[in-house]
Amino acid sequence: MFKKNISNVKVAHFHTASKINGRIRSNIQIRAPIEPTVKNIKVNEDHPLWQFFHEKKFIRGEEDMQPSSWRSWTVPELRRKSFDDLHSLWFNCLKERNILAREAHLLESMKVNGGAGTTEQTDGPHDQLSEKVRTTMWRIRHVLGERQKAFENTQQVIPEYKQQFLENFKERYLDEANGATEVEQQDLEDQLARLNWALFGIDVNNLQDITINKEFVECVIYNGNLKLQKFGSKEQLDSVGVITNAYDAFPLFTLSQENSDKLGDLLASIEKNRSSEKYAEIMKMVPVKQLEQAILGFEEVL
Amino acid sequence: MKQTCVNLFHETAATQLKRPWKKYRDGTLFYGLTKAGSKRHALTTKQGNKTFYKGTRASGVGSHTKFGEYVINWSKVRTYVAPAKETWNKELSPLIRETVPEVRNSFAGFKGPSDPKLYLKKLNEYIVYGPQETEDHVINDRNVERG
Repeated sequence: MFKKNISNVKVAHFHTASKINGRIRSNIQIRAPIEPTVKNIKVNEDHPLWQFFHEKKFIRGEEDMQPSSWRSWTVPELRRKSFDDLHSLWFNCLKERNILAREAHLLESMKVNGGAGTTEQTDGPHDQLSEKVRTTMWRIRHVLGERQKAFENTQQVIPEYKQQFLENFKERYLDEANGATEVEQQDLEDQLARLNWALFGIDVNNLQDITINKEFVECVIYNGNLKLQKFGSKEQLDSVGVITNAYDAFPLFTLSQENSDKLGDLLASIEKNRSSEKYAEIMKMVPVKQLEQAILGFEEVL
Repeated sequence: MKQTCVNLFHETAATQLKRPWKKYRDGTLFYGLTKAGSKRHALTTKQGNKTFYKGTRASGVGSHTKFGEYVINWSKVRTYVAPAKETWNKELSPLIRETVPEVRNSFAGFKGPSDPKLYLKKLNEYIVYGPQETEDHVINDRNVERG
């Protein structure tokens, strides 16, 4: 095979190494040499270094940039944005400044007389735009700082308002007139989910990776009482009473509009738990431990 | 012309540190070589003495062991948390067209952006209406919103 390939090529003499190479990789084909020019270099479309280029342009002209037609984001505009949006914007700014710095560096190196002595008094378009992007960036930090300050200020007053929030919602949730139609009822359930998220930090739709802490216990007890008063009859309410511990409240916490017919079964399981021997022991535990016991016991029931 | 009395400007701890005022017991300055000369230029690593930090704060993320190895202290290594792929909104441009009118905030009835009452009001609005604009929080025809 090697001889066959060689016979096609009109070369007087092969180097020994080439012969050996040809013997190992017998299907090697000799082609015309590739000229070392930029045009012959192929770069992947998704090459990560393209992030340093604006729309894959080598360099932008002044007409492409027009620094006077752009302005920074203002603080009130940034206040409207979510954390994720601000985070994205920060990184978009960072990338834009990288592009500008690359282009400015390129222009600097292309100067005929070199840097010294030719420094211009006014900033070029790259510097102007870069400064505007920088302004956007400090404003992002400013807005995040404001939010943190507002959060910290609220933490001091939240204990007195939290109870008020919960009472107000309870009134609305239990008011028959509010949950008349199915759509309104669904809206109330959504509100309850948002309340749990806003006041207790519990995402009810994602209970998989939750940590059991004081907030979760409070959330379970509040939700349990709410569900009992919403879906329970008067006799059921009287027999169970107001729930004050997490162990009793947890079965009711799992109740929703769709499975409200299961209330009877859940109340029966609560009664059964209360009559069991270890109930007195569990009641002596701290609320977090009570809740852990409840979750373990509830999984056994399921 | 009489020299400006620089003492008057050095009131805070930060300004104190900007110039070599303080002396060690052995008489050397806290940093800088001399108190005389031009005081209006920034000190660089070339002027400062042994206590002047000569670095860019980029290195020094670990320590050398007695065997000549270098152990990196990972709590000193900086990490950059980029947005996750799903939440990264690439459409947000770093700059806005000059023609777009600027939004302003009124904070009517509140002290400002960090007022806890405003925070509680927003919390209540979120619980009742979800993450959407409410009547209070909407831009009026003069580009003013509550904030």
